[in-house]
Amino acid sequence: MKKGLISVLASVISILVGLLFGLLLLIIIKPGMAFPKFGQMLTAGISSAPKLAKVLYQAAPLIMTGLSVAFAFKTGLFNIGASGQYTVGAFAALACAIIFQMPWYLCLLAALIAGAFWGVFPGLFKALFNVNEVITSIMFNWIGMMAVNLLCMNIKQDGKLIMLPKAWISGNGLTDRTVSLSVANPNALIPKMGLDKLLNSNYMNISIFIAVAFAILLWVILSRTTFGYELKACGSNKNAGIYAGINAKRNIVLSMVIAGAMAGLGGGIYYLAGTAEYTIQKALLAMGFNGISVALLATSNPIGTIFSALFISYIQVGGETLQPVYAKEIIDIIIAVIIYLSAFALLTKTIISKRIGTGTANANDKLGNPIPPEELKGRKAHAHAHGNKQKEGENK
Amino acid sequence: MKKFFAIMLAAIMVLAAFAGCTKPEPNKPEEKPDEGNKVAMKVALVTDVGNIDDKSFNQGAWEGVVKFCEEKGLKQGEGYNYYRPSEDSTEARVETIKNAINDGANMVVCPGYLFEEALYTVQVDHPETMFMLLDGEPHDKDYNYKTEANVHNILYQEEQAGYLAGYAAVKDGYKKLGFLGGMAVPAVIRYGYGFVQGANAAAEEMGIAGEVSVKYWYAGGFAPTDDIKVKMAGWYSDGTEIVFSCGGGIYLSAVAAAEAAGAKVIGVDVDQSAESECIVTSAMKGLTNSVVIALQNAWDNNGKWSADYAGKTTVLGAKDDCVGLPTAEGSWRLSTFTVDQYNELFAKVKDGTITISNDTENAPAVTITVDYNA
Amino acid sequence: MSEYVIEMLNITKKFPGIKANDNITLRLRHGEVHALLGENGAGKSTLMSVLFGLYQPEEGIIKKDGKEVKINDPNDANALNIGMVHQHFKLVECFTVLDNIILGVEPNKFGFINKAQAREKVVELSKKYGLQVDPDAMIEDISVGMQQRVEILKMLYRDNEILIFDEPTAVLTPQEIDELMQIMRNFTKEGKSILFITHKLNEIMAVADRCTVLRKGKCIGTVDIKDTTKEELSTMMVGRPVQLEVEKDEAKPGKVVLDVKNVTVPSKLHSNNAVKNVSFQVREGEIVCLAGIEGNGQTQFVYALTGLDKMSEGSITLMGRDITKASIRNRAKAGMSHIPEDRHKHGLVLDYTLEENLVLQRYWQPEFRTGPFIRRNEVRKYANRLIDEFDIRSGEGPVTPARSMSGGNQQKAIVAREIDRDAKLLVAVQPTRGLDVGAIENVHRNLVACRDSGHAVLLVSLELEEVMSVSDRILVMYEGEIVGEFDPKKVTVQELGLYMAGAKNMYREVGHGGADNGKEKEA
Repeated sequence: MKKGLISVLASVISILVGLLFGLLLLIIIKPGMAFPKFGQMLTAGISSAPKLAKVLYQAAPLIMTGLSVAFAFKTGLFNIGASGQYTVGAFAALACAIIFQMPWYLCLLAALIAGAFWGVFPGLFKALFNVNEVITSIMFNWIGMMAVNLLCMNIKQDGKLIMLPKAWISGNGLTDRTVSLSVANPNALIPKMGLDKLLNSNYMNISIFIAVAFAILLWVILSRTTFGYELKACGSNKNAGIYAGINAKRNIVLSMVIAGAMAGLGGGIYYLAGTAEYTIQKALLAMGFNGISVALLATSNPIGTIFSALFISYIQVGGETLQPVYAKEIIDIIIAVIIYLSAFALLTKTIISKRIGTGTANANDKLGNPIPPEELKGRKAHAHAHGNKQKEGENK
Repeated sequence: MKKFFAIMLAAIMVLAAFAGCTKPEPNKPEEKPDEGNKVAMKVALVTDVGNIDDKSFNQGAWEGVVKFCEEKGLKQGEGYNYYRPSEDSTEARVETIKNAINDGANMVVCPGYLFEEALYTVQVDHPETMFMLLDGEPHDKDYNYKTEANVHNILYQEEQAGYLAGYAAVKDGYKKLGFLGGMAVPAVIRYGYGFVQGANAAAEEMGIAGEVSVKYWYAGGFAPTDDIKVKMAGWYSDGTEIVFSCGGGIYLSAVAAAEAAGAKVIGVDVDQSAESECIVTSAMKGLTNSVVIALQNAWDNNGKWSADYAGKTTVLGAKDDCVGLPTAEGSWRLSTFTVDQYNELFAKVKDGTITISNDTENAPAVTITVDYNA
Repeated sequence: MSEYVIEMLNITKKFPGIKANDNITLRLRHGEVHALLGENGAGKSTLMSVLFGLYQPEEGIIKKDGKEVKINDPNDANALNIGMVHQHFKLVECFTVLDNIILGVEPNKFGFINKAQAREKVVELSKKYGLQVDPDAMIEDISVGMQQRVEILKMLYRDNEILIFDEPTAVLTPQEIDELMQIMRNFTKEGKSILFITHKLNEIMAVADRCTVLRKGKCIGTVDIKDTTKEELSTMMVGRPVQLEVEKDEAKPGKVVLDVKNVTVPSKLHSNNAVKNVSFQVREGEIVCLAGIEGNGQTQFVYALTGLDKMSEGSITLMGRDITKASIRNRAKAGMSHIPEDRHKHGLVLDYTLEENLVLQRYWQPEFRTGPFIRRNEVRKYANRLIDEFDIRSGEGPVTPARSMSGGNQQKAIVAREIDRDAKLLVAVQPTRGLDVGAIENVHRNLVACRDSGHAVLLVSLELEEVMSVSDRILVMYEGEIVGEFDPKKVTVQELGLYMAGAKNMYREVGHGGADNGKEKEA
């Protein structure tokens, strides 16, 4: 059986077990309504055109942040900074739209560049000083969010706070969010190209196609180009990459730049849809962290990211229909269980391999040492690694 | 894997059986339905973005819905429900309101100004459905206001609540006060200026206007942050004894600083005394009460707003018992200022003996010291 | 009592695309040393893993003392008194010898470890079998040979009667190997039975009573050692007669290819230099061997030579070009190819397929790319050619994940890749480590062919046999210095051993105790 198929199967099993768990919860909370509501939840996403539109609307930025995490992960980096890059990208898009009155595509480009810029720092710190990218990217999440909040509330043009509604309308505008784009610059809204009419929903625009296009682009880069070859080589074995003469440091930075660009674009896509405004002062945006879930479920495959984002979005839309009988937060629990299980993807894969009698890779892993002696150093590392497992290994 | 599924299935069945057993007892004999109502009312509350346990608008309004509906014998799940939108956007709020309407709701309670734009369109699309908007009035993106006949707006006289709190604080012996606002939005400004006026009135009565001072600051947001905490800690160490924390979750920062300094805080919107021992009182908006009042209006009117409610905005205050301080035992933590004194004061505000300015443009003229650049 | 202590009857174990064990029968007598011989990937490790409970066979049964048993995990194996010394030791580095030995079976009183009792038993065992260890030494401070003794003591401490040794000599010096052989003989005298996995024919001839030969998952046969010869065994193992001696003509050294001058490399572990003032030359058409016991600076020297690490002093000239500060890619372009010491750390990207690994050093060349894109057809074609030429075996051909290949075939892939680069200098670091006779023959032939076609070869090896048979010139390294230069035809293994252990130095006087300090803790 193909490795890819096993990955898919592992994810599907995670999903099924997660859903089963959700059903269990529903039964416990309110048995009478569990089955009809569960069925409704599973079918809501395709039950009507507007629901489908919402699935696509939510999936687009999810795909982007998922791509961000997945791409970095493929190259051996854990980009937990997608949230910050997303926020910075969102700001760049909004600033270009509101202050500079640019059209939507330039705003998206700005989002891409800003996200990439925010990815540079963790990449540089990692490459030059070997500072763990997890730590720097977490810090840059906060720096990014705070900086954006600060800018939104302080950029003035002609004495007015240009990012806020009050500069654009008379009367008492809200002060905790940016001005609506339909007021400030309708040209910056991502075009709907009639899709909103087709699906009868204001949520709908072409952003899902943009996201899918980038997923395909990243897949091509990773699997078809020498650049992707280098990135993955360094990602899965940095030493072998160096041995092959690959500039590992440059690749680390580039990888984070691309990851940041993806997340930044995600921010642009979401806020240029014209439905939500950027609200000031809150916790880190969840979209970036949801990207981690999406990437995990997709086992970091860019094409898989499309489907896992669509799935997460689909089930979130389904979760809305649990209301009012059940609290819609149940859906978050279900998603959490699924992600939790897919984090055990390796385990699941091993189980699948065993059950269907395949999986060369794992078979050899389990063997411990199918490979004849390495030199002293390798062996010492090995002894370290296995030291703690000793009890399970042989002595119990 | 098979084994695992088998176990899961078994677990589900066992739990299902349990769930069956523990199903709530058949409902207690229902109260006799109010004869005034001919049309079955189905109430839905849509939260602005948070949940019904936010200790603020959503919660206050939801408690009103529950109180009213239970009194009328409506049951949750049948007579009343709540919904939460998928994201913080007008589009999502519109969608959620429509979901509620699709589920049969004919009375939708919308707590908070975030619904202003959403209701602007929905009120036209669903003329048969009644809407209640708390703390706002429908308008479009360009702030063109329009309220249809199926909408009733409720605003509050925050300045009265602020006044009561300021007055009580000074009467209770506090001389160095602080006002921590979330953002300079009208409701918060009214609270703040009311607070200053109340403190001033008490100080002048007691003849200590020269000794009382108020530090006044807007944090710039409604979320608790370390910055706010640091700022508050600074105030407290400078001698500030009590801070009126006004807006969303920022009270958390103020409380944290106060607890560390052994100082006091005044809560806002709802009775926050349960949050911390250091919250001596709260300037409440009677959200719960106002929701009950409005629902009763529709109830008495076949589920529709009466003529003086339809398309109208009411401003609720002391006269409607919709602002005030919590007087319940346990909530009242003022020592020298007594509940009786408070009731006396409240009566004066209620009957108009005491008038409080609701001007949000100009700071009130007072004789105590107010530092607006604190 | 049955004649056999362990019988593995008709064992079949399948992995995707391959039958790792195909109807294998192995019978172990009481008190014998039974060798298990086979090429890499022949199924030796799989068979032992079945016996040790790590795998469940699809078919076949295991009997202990004539009774059928089921071994589901290593705990079951342990309960049946089966113990195993793994190829990679499983010791806790920061524990003492004693702690490691009793780990998991700590004698205790009311939950408190009774170390005195344990120590007594360990001391007694080590005396009885001549396994001298210091029970209080930290694992990280003792030599590899010592660590192996600890592993053996672990088995003895658990009263194991059936001892499995998985390639135990691969990491030992010649002297240590002799000692181990003696210890094994002592065990059999005590009635313990030994399964000895190896592909070194000399050791089998020296210590084993019988030998079972596996080839490509099948059992070829079991022979009595006293009735057989090395040649017969190797033929059984490989399936054809094998040239055990390396056949080669006299070297015809030409121009200088590599010129190393005064290279000094600082150590990462201590303040001394790992490599001290090393100078030598390698000419085209010759194989120069850098010999020495592990941990004497060879690794660090090669890192500096190939650009994986920096040197503090000295210069390196390749084909007249100073590459002292050149990047790895530029060294490659200047004509250096490198078979790395650690094929998992450097040599391969294990998550990549075989074909992706085969172009690891040349994916960037115009041959394999169009603009930014990899020419996958060309890569496939190239991989297929190397697979044919170098006989690289794998489950799924070019698309086999490297991780799932046997160690020998992984090594073959690296050798193929590096030799095919046709670089003027080939740096081969332990190119035959872990390979079987057939594969070793193949690599040696390739090295000689490489030399004969006018390339320069720098071979770094720990195997004295290899050093003697392949090289044209031997440099011995001890504690980071070159201590001697020899012509393999004019020097004995014993003589070399003295230099390698530091007891002799061509260039200066040597003090006492050199041999014991031979194991510098440097990796």
